[in-house]
Amino acid sequence: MTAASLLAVFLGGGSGAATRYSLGRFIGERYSGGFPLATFLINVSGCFALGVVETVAQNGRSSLVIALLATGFLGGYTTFSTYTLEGVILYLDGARRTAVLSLIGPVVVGILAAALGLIVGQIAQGA
Amino acid sequence: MTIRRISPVFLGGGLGACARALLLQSPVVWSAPFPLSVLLINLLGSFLLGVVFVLADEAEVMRSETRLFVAVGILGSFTTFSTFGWETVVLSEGRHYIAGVSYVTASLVGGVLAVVAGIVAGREAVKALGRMTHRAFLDRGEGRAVSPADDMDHIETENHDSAELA
Repeated sequence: MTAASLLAVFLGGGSGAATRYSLGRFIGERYSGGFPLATFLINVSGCFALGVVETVAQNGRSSLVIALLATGFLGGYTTFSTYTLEGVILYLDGARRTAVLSLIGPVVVGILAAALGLIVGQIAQGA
Repeated sequence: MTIRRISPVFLGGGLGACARALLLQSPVVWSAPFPLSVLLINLLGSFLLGVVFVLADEAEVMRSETRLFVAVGILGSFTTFSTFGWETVVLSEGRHYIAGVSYVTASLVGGVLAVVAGIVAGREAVKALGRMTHRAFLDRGEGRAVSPADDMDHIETENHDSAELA
């Protein structure tokens, strides 16, 4: 991995994390339900975006752009650890149904979102 | 949204992403039929977040900037949901359905177990440190009845004392 790629990952990852944090707070301030909506929306949107980026990038585009956008930004934007922790905490707090929903929901919707991103990416390439 | 809160998130996020990128370069764990590297990264990150959760939210021995740096920043960026989702789609596209289902199951079940293990480990660590600190105060003749929890905020700066007494 080149130094430039690593720097791109760093900047992208930092931006992605900062975006996740800001968006998380923004959504959290407006939604007070028990379901971890912020993490859900962030992860699902990230899956969709990665589907698009990975599909479009198959042309062998600059690996630096991939490092920045995919590995960096989207990798930093989405999070698996927060997602599992929130689910476990909900369960331990007694909100079992919400916990199961919060764990299974993002997986189903996220995978569908990534598939949709792939389709959109293919359409974008064909256009 | 202050600079003071965003900065540790950005910095940690950058580092977490770099760690992930470097680990994903390793050819070793690609012998499995599914993306083992991403799985292990997500499991490790989940475990560590469980520990950090206990330290920061239950025992409250972590400053908020540190928590932002480690939990939201490093671990949040180190682990990735988008790659998990995309890799599953790739497996499905390649008709590796069993690998896909295994990957999803391992990630989901493994992730939950990892967090629980992290919480357990974190709680044990806090108890052990509390016992050490408590003993330290008794040994130093500070007779007052001190609960281990009271002295938690000293742990970060007085770790060397605890280590000497252990």
